[in-house]
Amino acid sequence: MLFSISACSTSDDKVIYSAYKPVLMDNAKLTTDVFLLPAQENKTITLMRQMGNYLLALDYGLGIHVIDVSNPDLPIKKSFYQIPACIDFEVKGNTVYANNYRDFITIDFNTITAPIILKREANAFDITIKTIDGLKVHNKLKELPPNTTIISYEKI
Amino acid sequence: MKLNLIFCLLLLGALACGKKDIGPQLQTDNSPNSLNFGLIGINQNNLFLNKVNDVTAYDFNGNQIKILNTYNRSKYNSIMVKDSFLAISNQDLVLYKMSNTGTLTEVTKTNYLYNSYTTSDLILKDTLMILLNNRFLSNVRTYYSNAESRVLSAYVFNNAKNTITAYTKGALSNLNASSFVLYQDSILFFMNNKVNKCNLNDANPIISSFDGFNPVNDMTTSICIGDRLYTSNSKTIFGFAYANNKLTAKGEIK
Repeated sequence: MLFSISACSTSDDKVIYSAYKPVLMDNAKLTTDVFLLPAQENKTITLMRQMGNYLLALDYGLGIHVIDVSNPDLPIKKSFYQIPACIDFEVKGNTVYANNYRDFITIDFNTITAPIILKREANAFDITIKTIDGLKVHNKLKELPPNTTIISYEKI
Repeated sequence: MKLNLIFCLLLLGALACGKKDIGPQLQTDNSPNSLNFGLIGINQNNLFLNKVNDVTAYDFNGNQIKILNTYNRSKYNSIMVKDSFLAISNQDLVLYKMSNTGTLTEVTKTNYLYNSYTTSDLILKDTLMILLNNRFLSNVRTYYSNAESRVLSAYVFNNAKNTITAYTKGALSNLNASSFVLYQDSILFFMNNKVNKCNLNDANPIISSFDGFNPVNDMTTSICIGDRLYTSNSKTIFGFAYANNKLTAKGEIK
Protein backbone atom coordinates (compact mmCIF):
# COMPACT_ATOMS: atom_id res chain seq x y z
CA MET A 1 0.00 0.00 0.00
CA LEU A 2 2.81 2.39 0.93
CA PHE A 3 4.25 1.37 -2.32
CA SER A 4 1.17 2.54 -4.24
CA ILE A 5 0.82 5.80 -2.34
CA SER A 6 4.40 6.78 -2.84
CA ALA A 7 4.15 5.82 -6.48
CA CYS A 8 1.68 8.66 -6.95
CA SER A 9 3.53 11.26 -5.03
CA THR A 10 7.06 10.89 -6.26
CA SER A 11 8.77 11.50 -9.50
CA ASP A 12 9.78 7.87 -9.91
CA ASP A 13 6.24 6.66 -10.45
CA LYS A 14 7.17 4.77 -13.57
CA VAL A 15 9.62 2.60 -11.74
CA ILE A 16 8.88 -1.02 -11.02
CA TYR A 17 10.48 -2.12 -7.81
CA SER A 18 11.25 -5.59 -6.62
CA ALA A 19 8.47 -8.01 -5.75
CA TYR A 20 10.55 -9.02 -2.77
CA LYS A 21 11.12 -7.54 0.66
CA PRO A 22 14.11 -8.10 2.90
CA VAL A 23 14.41 -10.85 5.48
CA LEU A 24 16.40 -9.49 8.40
CA MET A 25 18.59 -10.99 11.08
CA ASP A 26 20.30 -9.54 14.12
CA ASN A 27 23.94 -8.91 13.39
CA ALA A 28 24.94 -10.82 16.50
CA LYS A 29 23.37 -14.00 15.12
CA LEU A 30 24.68 -13.84 11.59
CA THR A 31 27.64 -16.12 12.10
CA THR A 32 26.58 -17.86 15.28
CA ASP A 33 23.21 -19.27 14.25
CA VAL A 34 24.59 -21.86 11.88
CA PHE A 35 23.05 -25.18 12.84
CA LEU A 36 20.89 -28.11 11.86
CA LEU A 37 17.12 -27.75 12.15
CA PRO A 38 14.24 -30.09 11.38
CA ALA A 39 13.15 -30.22 7.75
CA GLN A 40 11.59 -26.96 6.59
CA GLU A 41 9.33 -25.99 3.72
CA ASN A 42 11.03 -24.59 0.65
CA LYS A 43 10.85 -20.85 0.22
CA THR A 44 13.11 -19.89 -2.66
CA ILE A 45 15.32 -22.65 -4.01
CA THR A 46 18.12 -21.14 -6.07
CA LEU A 47 20.80 -23.81 -6.27
CA MET A 48 21.01 -27.59 -6.01
CA ARG A 49 24.00 -29.86 -5.61
CA GLN A 50 24.50 -33.58 -5.12
CA MET A 51 26.26 -35.04 -2.09
CA GLY A 52 26.26 -38.82 -2.42
CA ASN A 53 22.70 -39.99 -1.95
CA TYR A 54 21.60 -36.55 -0.88
CA LEU A 55 20.28 -33.63 -2.80
CA LEU A 56 21.30 -30.34 -1.18
CA ALA A 57 19.02 -27.46 -2.09
CA LEU A 58 19.89 -23.90 -1.17
CA ASP A 59 17.08 -21.75 0.12
CA TYR A 60 18.31 -18.31 -0.85
CA GLY A 61 19.99 -16.63 2.09
CA LEU A 62 18.53 -19.05 4.60
CA GLY A 63 20.35 -22.34 4.39
CA ILE A 64 20.45 -25.79 2.83
CA HIS A 65 17.73 -28.42 2.68
CA VAL A 66 19.11 -31.94 3.06
CA ILE A 67 17.05 -34.39 0.99
CA ASP A 68 17.65 -38.11 0.85
CA VAL A 69 17.21 -39.26 -2.76
CA SER A 70 18.64 -42.77 -2.33
CA ASN A 71 15.20 -43.96 -3.36
CA PRO A 72 14.52 -41.53 -6.19
CA ASP A 73 10.85 -42.43 -6.22
CA LEU A 74 10.57 -41.44 -2.60
CA PRO A 75 12.76 -38.45 -1.77
CA ILE A 76 12.76 -37.63 1.93
CA LYS A 77 13.56 -34.29 3.44
CA LYS A 78 15.85 -35.01 6.34
CA SER A 79 16.78 -31.65 7.76
CA PHE A 80 17.60 -28.02 7.13
CA TYR A 81 21.06 -26.63 7.78
CA GLN A 82 20.63 -22.97 8.55
CA ILE A 83 23.34 -20.71 7.13
CA PRO A 84 22.35 -17.03 7.35
CA ALA A 85 22.90 -15.03 4.15
CA CYS A 86 24.13 -18.06 2.25
CA ILE A 87 23.81 -17.47 -1.48
CA ASP A 88 26.30 -19.95 -2.88
CA PHE A 89 27.78 -23.29 -1.99
CA GLU A 90 29.70 -26.16 -3.50
CA VAL A 91 30.25 -29.77 -2.53
CA LYS A 92 33.28 -32.07 -2.65
CA GLY A 93 32.80 -35.53 -1.19
CA ASN A 94 30.96 -35.00 2.06
CA THR A 95 32.27 -31.49 2.58
CA VAL A 96 30.23 -28.40 1.89
CA TYR A 97 31.84 -25.05 1.15
CA ALA A 98 29.55 -22.08 1.60
CA ASN A 99 29.36 -18.43 2.35
CA ASN A 100 27.86 -17.48 5.68
CA TYR A 101 27.21 -13.83 4.95
CA ARG A 102 30.74 -12.53 4.36
CA ASP A 103 32.51 -15.51 5.89
CA PHE A 104 33.69 -18.60 4.07
CA ILE A 105 32.91 -21.79 5.94
CA THR A 106 33.91 -25.40 5.40
CA ILE A 107 31.39 -27.89 6.78
CA ASP A 108 31.94 -31.60 7.37
CA PHE A 109 28.77 -33.53 6.50
CA ASN A 110 30.20 -37.00 7.09
CA THR A 111 27.64 -37.40 9.84
CA ILE A 112 24.57 -36.12 8.11
CA THR A 113 22.72 -35.63 11.39
CA ALA A 114 25.53 -33.61 12.95
CA PRO A 115 27.45 -31.44 10.49
CA ILE A 116 30.54 -29.75 11.87
CA ILE A 117 32.07 -26.46 10.82
CA LEU A 118 35.70 -27.31 10.18
CA LYS A 119 36.96 -23.91 9.20
CA ARG A 120 35.79 -20.33 9.04
CA GLU A 121 37.52 -17.49 7.22
CA ALA A 122 36.02 -14.22 8.33
CA ASN A 123 35.21 -11.53 5.76
CA ALA A 124 36.37 -13.53 2.77
CA PHE A 125 33.56 -12.04 0.72
CA ASP A 126 32.33 -8.51 0.30
CA ILE A 127 28.67 -8.79 -0.45
CA THR A 128 25.27 -7.43 0.18
CA ILE A 129 22.37 -9.71 -0.53
CA LYS A 130 20.57 -8.84 -3.71
CA THR A 131 16.91 -9.25 -4.52
CA ILE A 132 16.08 -12.42 -6.39
CA ASP A 133 14.51 -10.61 -9.31
CA GLY A 134 17.42 -8.19 -9.53
CA LEU A 135 15.23 -5.17 -8.92
CA LYS A 136 15.61 -2.47 -6.32
CA VAL A 137 13.72 -2.54 -3.08
CA HIS A 138 11.60 0.49 -2.42
CA ASN A 139 13.23 2.78 0.09
CA LYS A 140 10.32 2.49 2.50
CA LEU A 141 10.81 -1.25 2.66
CA LYS A 142 14.56 -1.05 2.83
CA GLU A 143 14.93 0.88 6.06
CA LEU A 144 16.64 -1.43 8.48
CA PRO A 145 16.28 -1.52 12.25
CA PRO A 146 19.58 -0.95 14.06
CA ASN A 147 22.02 -3.83 14.18
CA THR A 148 20.27 -5.92 11.57
CA THR A 149 21.36 -7.24 8.19
CA ILE A 150 19.46 -8.40 5.15
CA ILE A 151 20.01 -12.14 4.79
CA SER A 152 17.43 -12.98 2.17
CA TYR A 153 14.28 -11.75 0.41
CA GLU A 154 10.73 -12.99 0.46
CA LYS A 155 7.81 -12.16 -1.78
CA ILE A 156 5.75 -9.19 -0.72
CA MET B 1 -13.84 -4.44 6.29
CA LYS B 2 -13.17 -0.71 6.50
CA LEU B 3 -9.50 -1.34 6.06
CA ASN B 4 -10.19 -3.37 2.97
CA LEU B 5 -12.29 -0.57 1.55
CA ILE B 6 -9.59 1.99 2.26
CA PHE B 7 -7.03 -0.26 0.70
CA CYS B 8 -9.14 -0.68 -2.45
CA LEU B 9 -9.69 3.07 -2.74
CA LEU B 10 -6.01 3.74 -2.36
CA LEU B 11 -5.18 1.05 -4.84
CA LEU B 12 -7.64 2.49 -7.36
CA GLY B 13 -6.15 5.90 -6.74
CA ALA B 14 -2.72 4.60 -7.36
CA LEU B 15 -3.83 2.88 -10.53
CA ALA B 16 -5.52 6.03 -11.74
CA CYS B 17 -2.30 7.87 -11.08
CA GLY B 18 -0.47 5.27 -13.10
CA LYS B 19 -2.60 5.90 -16.17
CA LYS B 20 -0.60 8.95 -17.04
CA ASP B 21 2.56 6.87 -17.14
CA ILE B 22 4.19 6.41 -20.46
CA GLY B 23 5.20 2.98 -19.33
CA PRO B 24 6.80 1.26 -16.40
CA GLN B 25 10.54 1.09 -16.12
CA LEU B 26 12.46 -1.55 -14.32
CA GLN B 27 14.91 -0.33 -11.78
CA THR B 28 17.67 -2.84 -11.51
CA ASP B 29 19.67 -3.10 -8.36
CA ASN B 30 23.06 -2.29 -9.79
CA SER B 31 24.60 -1.14 -6.58
CA PRO B 32 28.24 -2.09 -6.15
CA ASN B 33 29.13 -5.26 -4.32
CA SER B 34 25.72 -6.71 -4.88
CA LEU B 35 25.58 -10.35 -5.81
CA ASN B 36 23.22 -13.22 -5.76
CA PHE B 37 25.57 -16.02 -6.64
CA GLY B 38 28.95 -16.76 -8.16
CA LEU B 39 30.99 -16.63 -4.96
CA ILE B 40 32.44 -20.13 -5.04
CA GLY B 41 33.71 -22.20 -7.94
CA ILE B 42 35.02 -25.73 -7.92
CA ASN B 43 36.83 -28.14 -10.21
CA GLN B 44 38.55 -31.48 -9.76
CA ASN B 45 41.54 -29.97 -7.99
CA ASN B 46 40.58 -26.81 -6.19
CA LEU B 47 38.04 -24.40 -4.88
CA PHE B 48 37.96 -20.86 -6.20
CA LEU B 49 36.67 -17.99 -4.14
CA ASN B 50 35.40 -14.72 -5.49
CA LYS B 51 36.87 -12.65 -2.69
CA VAL B 52 36.89 -8.99 -1.87
CA ASN B 53 39.38 -7.93 -4.50
CA ASP B 54 40.61 -11.12 -6.04
CA VAL B 55 39.93 -14.67 -7.08
CA THR B 56 41.85 -17.08 -4.91
CA ALA B 57 42.41 -20.82 -5.29
CA TYR B 58 41.88 -22.97 -2.19
CA ASP B 59 42.52 -26.60 -1.39
CA PHE B 60 39.67 -28.79 -0.25
CA ASN B 61 40.67 -28.31 3.38
CA GLY B 62 39.74 -24.68 3.02
CA ASN B 63 43.29 -23.34 2.88
CA GLN B 64 44.38 -20.60 0.52
CA ILE B 65 46.81 -21.65 -2.19
CA LYS B 66 47.20 -18.83 -4.65
CA ILE B 67 45.69 -15.56 -5.77
CA LEU B 68 44.82 -16.03 -9.42
CA ASN B 69 43.41 -12.69 -10.38
CA THR B 70 42.91 -9.31 -8.81
CA TYR B 71 40.37 -6.68 -9.67
CA ASN B 72 38.67 -3.60 -8.37
CA ARG B 73 35.20 -4.61 -7.42
CA SER B 74 32.81 -2.00 -8.67
CA LYS B 75 29.93 -3.97 -10.10
CA TYR B 76 28.57 -7.44 -9.72
CA ASN B 77 31.43 -9.83 -9.87
CA SER B 78 30.69 -13.46 -10.12
CA ILE B 79 32.88 -16.39 -10.99
CA MET B 80 32.31 -19.72 -12.63
CA VAL B 81 34.73 -22.60 -12.80
CA LYS B 82 34.63 -25.76 -14.80
CA ASP B 83 37.62 -27.98 -15.37
CA SER B 84 40.44 -25.71 -16.46
CA PHE B 85 38.22 -22.76 -17.29
CA LEU B 86 37.53 -19.83 -15.05
CA ALA B 87 35.08 -17.14 -16.00
CA ILE B 88 34.92 -13.82 -14.19
CA SER B 89 31.96 -11.60 -14.74
CA ASN B 90 31.99 -7.93 -13.99
CA GLN B 91 30.34 -5.75 -16.56
CA ASP B 92 31.86 -7.99 -19.13
CA LEU B 93 32.51 -11.65 -18.92
CA VAL B 94 36.10 -12.72 -19.26
CA LEU B 95 37.07 -16.31 -19.76
CA TYR B 96 40.42 -17.75 -18.69
CA LYS B 97 42.16 -21.01 -19.25
CA MET B 98 44.04 -22.15 -16.14
CA SER B 99 47.34 -23.93 -16.26
CA ASN B 100 48.30 -26.59 -13.73
CA THR B 101 50.23 -23.96 -11.83
CA GLY B 102 47.27 -21.61 -11.68
CA THR B 103 48.40 -19.22 -14.36
CA LEU B 104 45.48 -17.68 -16.18
CA THR B 105 45.48 -17.08 -19.89
CA GLU B 106 42.64 -15.08 -21.25
CA VAL B 107 40.68 -16.79 -23.99
CA THR B 108 40.25 -14.72 -27.11
CA LYS B 109 37.60 -12.17 -26.36
CA THR B 110 35.98 -11.88 -29.70
CA ASN B 111 33.84 -14.90 -29.33
CA TYR B 112 32.59 -14.64 -25.82
CA LEU B 113 32.47 -11.02 -24.82
CA TYR B 114 29.02 -10.22 -23.59
CA ASN B 115 27.68 -7.44 -21.50
CA SER B 116 26.81 -9.80 -18.74
CA TYR B 117 26.64 -8.81 -15.10
CA THR B 118 25.86 -12.20 -13.74
CA THR B 119 26.77 -15.69 -14.66
CA SER B 120 25.75 -18.81 -12.91
CA ASP B 121 26.95 -21.99 -14.40
CA LEU B 122 29.65 -23.31 -16.63
CA ILE B 123 29.39 -26.80 -17.98
CA LEU B 124 32.03 -28.50 -19.99
CA LYS B 125 30.87 -31.35 -22.11
CA ASP B 126 33.74 -32.86 -24.04
CA THR B 127 35.01 -29.85 -25.89
CA LEU B 128 31.78 -27.95 -25.63
CA MET B 129 31.32 -25.27 -23.06
CA ILE B 130 28.04 -23.88 -21.98
CA LEU B 131 27.53 -20.82 -19.89
CA LEU B 132 24.18 -20.56 -18.24
CA ASN B 133 23.16 -17.20 -16.89
CA ASN B 134 19.56 -17.75 -16.23
CA ARG B 135 19.36 -18.80 -12.64
CA PHE B 136 17.40 -15.78 -11.63
CA LEU B 137 15.71 -15.13 -14.95
CA SER B 138 17.34 -11.78 -15.21
CA ASN B 139 18.28 -10.01 -18.38
CA VAL B 140 21.49 -11.89 -18.85
CA ARG B 141 22.83 -13.90 -21.68
CA THR B 142 23.95 -17.35 -22.38
CA TYR B 143 26.21 -18.78 -24.96
CA TYR B 144 27.48 -22.13 -25.98
CA SER B 145 30.77 -22.46 -27.68
CA ASN B 146 33.57 -24.75 -28.57
CA ALA B 147 36.05 -23.74 -25.90
CA GLU B 148 38.96 -25.75 -27.15
CA SER B 149 39.06 -24.22 -30.58
CA ARG B 150 37.91 -20.93 -29.06
CA VAL B 151 35.41 -20.52 -31.79
CA LEU B 152 31.80 -19.73 -31.16
CA SER B 153 30.08 -22.65 -32.69
CA ALA B 154 26.72 -24.30 -32.94
CA TYR B 155 24.50 -22.08 -30.86
CA VAL B 156 24.22 -18.67 -29.34
CA PHE B 157 21.60 -18.36 -26.66
CA ASN B 158 20.39 -14.93 -25.89
CA ASN B 159 18.37 -15.10 -22.73
CA ALA B 160 16.63 -11.83 -22.18
CA LYS B 161 13.61 -11.88 -19.96
CA ASN B 162 13.00 -15.57 -20.48
CA THR B 163 13.41 -15.35 -24.20
CA ILE B 164 16.01 -17.44 -25.86
CA THR B 165 17.09 -17.00 -29.39
CA ALA B 166 18.81 -20.05 -30.77
CA TYR B 167 20.95 -19.63 -33.82
CA THR B 168 21.77 -22.83 -35.60
CA LYS B 169 24.23 -22.35 -38.36
CA GLY B 170 22.31 -19.48 -39.73
CA ALA B 171 18.90 -20.82 -38.92
CA LEU B 172 17.06 -18.80 -36.31
CA SER B 173 14.33 -19.89 -34.01
CA ASN B 174 12.78 -18.20 -31.02
CA LEU B 175 12.04 -20.11 -27.89
CA ASN B 176 10.57 -19.04 -24.61
CA ALA B 177 12.58 -20.93 -22.11
CA SER B 178 13.16 -20.21 -18.47
CA SER B 179 15.89 -22.64 -17.55
CA PHE B 180 18.48 -25.02 -18.89
CA VAL B 181 20.24 -28.07 -17.63
CA LEU B 182 22.73 -30.53 -19.04
CA TYR B 183 21.05 -33.94 -18.90
CA GLN B 184 22.87 -37.01 -20.09
CA ASP B 185 23.91 -36.13 -23.63
CA SER B 186 21.57 -33.22 -24.07
CA ILE B 187 20.80 -29.73 -22.95
CA LEU B 188 17.24 -29.40 -21.78
CA PHE B 189 15.40 -26.14 -22.21
CA PHE B 190 12.51 -25.68 -19.86
CA MET B 191 9.57 -24.06 -21.47
CA ASN B 192 6.30 -22.87 -20.09
CA ASN B 193 4.51 -25.93 -21.33
CA LYS B 194 7.19 -28.36 -22.35
CA VAL B 195 10.86 -29.10 -22.28
CA ASN B 196 13.00 -29.20 -25.39
CA LYS B 197 16.27 -30.97 -25.78
CA CYS B 198 19.35 -30.50 -27.85
CA ASN B 199 21.64 -33.51 -28.22
CA LEU B 200 25.27 -32.50 -27.83
CA ASN B 201 26.62 -35.56 -29.58
CA ASP B 202 25.05 -34.58 -32.82
CA ALA B 203 27.33 -32.73 -35.18
CA ASN B 204 24.45 -30.45 -35.95
CA PRO B 205 22.32 -30.49 -32.82
CA ILE B 206 18.65 -30.20 -33.48
CA ILE B 207 16.24 -28.95 -30.89
CA SER B 208 13.36 -31.34 -30.38
CA SER B 209 10.65 -31.68 -27.78
CA PHE B 210 10.23 -34.17 -25.01
CA ASP B 211 6.87 -35.76 -24.58
CA GLY B 212 5.16 -36.31 -21.31
CA PHE B 213 6.41 -33.29 -19.44
CA ASN B 214 4.04 -31.56 -17.11
CA PRO B 215 3.94 -27.81 -17.46
CA VAL B 216 5.99 -26.08 -14.80
CA ASN B 217 6.60 -22.39 -14.78
CA ASP B 218 9.36 -20.24 -13.38
CA MET B 219 12.10 -22.82 -13.29
CA THR B 220 15.05 -21.50 -11.42
CA THR B 221 17.53 -24.31 -11.01
CA SER B 222 17.97 -27.91 -12.08
CA ILE B 223 20.28 -30.84 -11.42
CA CYS B 224 20.62 -34.39 -12.67
CA ILE B 225 21.36 -37.22 -10.27
CA GLY B 226 21.62 -40.60 -11.90
CA ASP B 227 18.75 -40.98 -14.30
CA ARG B 228 16.67 -38.44 -12.45
CA LEU B 229 16.19 -34.81 -13.16
CA TYR B 230 15.31 -32.47 -10.31
CA THR B 231 14.17 -29.01 -11.16
CA SER B 232 12.78 -26.28 -8.98
CA ASN B 233 10.37 -23.43 -9.47
CA SER B 234 11.44 -21.79 -6.21
CA LYS B 235 9.05 -23.39 -3.78
CA THR B 236 8.79 -26.88 -5.22
CA ILE B 237 11.42 -29.29 -6.45
CA PHE B 238 10.04 -31.57 -9.14
CA GLY B 239 11.53 -34.97 -9.84
CA PHE B 240 11.46 -36.56 -13.30
CA ALA B 241 12.63 -39.84 -14.73
CA TYR B 242 13.87 -40.06 -18.28
CA ALA B 243 13.27 -43.11 -20.41
CA ASN B 244 12.37 -43.76 -24.01
CA ASN B 245 12.62 -40.11 -24.86
CA LYS B 246 10.08 -39.22 -22.21
CA LEU B 247 10.27 -37.32 -18.98
CA THR B 248 7.88 -38.74 -16.43
CA ALA B 249 6.93 -36.81 -13.31
CA LYS B 250 8.13 -38.62 -10.21
CA GLY B 251 6.96 -36.60 -7.30
CA GLU B 252 7.47 -33.24 -5.70
CA ILE B 253 9.58 -32.06 -2.80
CA LYS B 254 8.12 -29.09 -0.94
